[in-house]
Amino acid sequence: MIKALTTSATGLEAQQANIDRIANDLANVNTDGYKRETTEFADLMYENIKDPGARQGANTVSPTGIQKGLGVKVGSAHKIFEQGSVKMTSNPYDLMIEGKGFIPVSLPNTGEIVFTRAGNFKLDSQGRISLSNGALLEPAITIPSEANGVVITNNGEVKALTSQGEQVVGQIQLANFINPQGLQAIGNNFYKSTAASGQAQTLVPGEGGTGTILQGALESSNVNVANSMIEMIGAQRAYEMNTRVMGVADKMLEATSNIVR
Amino acid sequence: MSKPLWPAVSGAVARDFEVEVISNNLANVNTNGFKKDGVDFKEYLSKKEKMDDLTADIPRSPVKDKDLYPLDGRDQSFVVVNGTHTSFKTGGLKVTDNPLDLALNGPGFLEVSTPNGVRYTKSGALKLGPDGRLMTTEGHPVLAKSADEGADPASRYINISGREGQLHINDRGELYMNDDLVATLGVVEFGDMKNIRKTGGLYFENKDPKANPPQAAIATNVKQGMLETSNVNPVEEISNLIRANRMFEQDLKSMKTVNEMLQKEANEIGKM
Repeated sequence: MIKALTTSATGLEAQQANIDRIANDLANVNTDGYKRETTEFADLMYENIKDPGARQGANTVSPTGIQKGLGVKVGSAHKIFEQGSVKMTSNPYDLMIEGKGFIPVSLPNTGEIVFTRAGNFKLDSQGRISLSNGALLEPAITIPSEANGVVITNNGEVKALTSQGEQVVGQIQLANFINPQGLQAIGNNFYKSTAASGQAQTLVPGEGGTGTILQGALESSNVNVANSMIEMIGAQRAYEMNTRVMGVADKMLEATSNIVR
Repeated sequence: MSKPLWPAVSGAVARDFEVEVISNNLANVNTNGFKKDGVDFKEYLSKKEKMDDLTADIPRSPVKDKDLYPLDGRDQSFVVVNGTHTSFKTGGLKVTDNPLDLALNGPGFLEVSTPNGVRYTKSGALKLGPDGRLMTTEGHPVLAKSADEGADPASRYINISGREGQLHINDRGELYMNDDLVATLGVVEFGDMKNIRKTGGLYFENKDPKANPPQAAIATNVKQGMLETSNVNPVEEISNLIRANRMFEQDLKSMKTVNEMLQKEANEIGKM
């Protein structure tokens, strides 16, 4: 009975992690470049009381064994990098990646290179292409102040339109990971490379399956509200059922202690 | 006099076991690839207390009811847990659209190399390692099909690094990158499912590889972009839970009755 209590407690904890994850997905349903997460569960270890085939007598072996599971754990919670839908903004510095690459940016204070799918860039006071929180495109690209307009090609070539004509001012690069699910989300739509994701392979857009760049568009969140709602119902009911087991285990304990008054 | 206490105790212990198994099933109601467990009970007779005395035609003592209907200890039948079994019924299929999610539709398992030896799993939520190796969520490499079962598992790892394009896995478990066949997933089936026991982490172990060797899958389809959900049926589990709870209460009731009888025996007979 004590085991049933702790087993259902593992169930509660797992379902709570699930609900937390769904809440975060739904909170980011309008966050451009956001990628939904998934929570995977795995069963915990088993207590083996009797093995199948255990000898029971001279000529008999037990056909089945006895084992008792001890609950559930969260096996992994990772992002699903499915492409979100296109949202046209007509803002020249909004960049969307069509494909599986990431845009490398350097963080304002540390200079650390992190990666993002949310390409809602702006110009900073010095004309550099940057994100609203100050992270600069890596390698940094400066748009000359006399430019009338900016064209960013599918291959990431940044051209400034000046009175003298088109002038190439830089090349945007995309990073590819062998295992994007191993990336660590650090907030602000940023991802950090880890040992699990592998090193970033920086390539020109369009090469090596990185994808191409679409100017004047943003990738909307890939959260599927209907799916999240269904998952929420499932998680909530699973949570309830585990509390029910806990209630039964509690009642059994109570009844046992009441045998002797 | 205290003898009737013990069958009730055995019943309560058995129900307790059942509740623990149900609690594990319900804890895993949302675990993809999980297979539910069930409990078998058996009756356990204590030794025959009185042999049928058919030769005696003259009663040697006053005849009692017991002499006409020999009990053979059947008034003292205990219940014990005989075994637990895993139901390998296929769960539901859930579309995830993730190319690395596989559902095994049928009795087959994926072969996985763990530090403790080859294990089998129904959970097809595969991942890529940093070196491009295909692995399970727990981080153990998935094995390719091999003609020789005794081959070193390390030679059967599936690695897709250095290849570009879309990963495609067909019904037979053949893994393509664009149009190149990279490997065939090791999907196996077993003749005797009783020897397939759980080891946690959604893995199963073959307890008797000699008598029950893994065979190449013939009745299993691999479905890419789907996962097999847990085959726990909440309605069944909750009704079993209610039943186990009530039966536990009944067992306790008998224990209480015996307790009261013992109390009377100790206190009231002496008063007479």
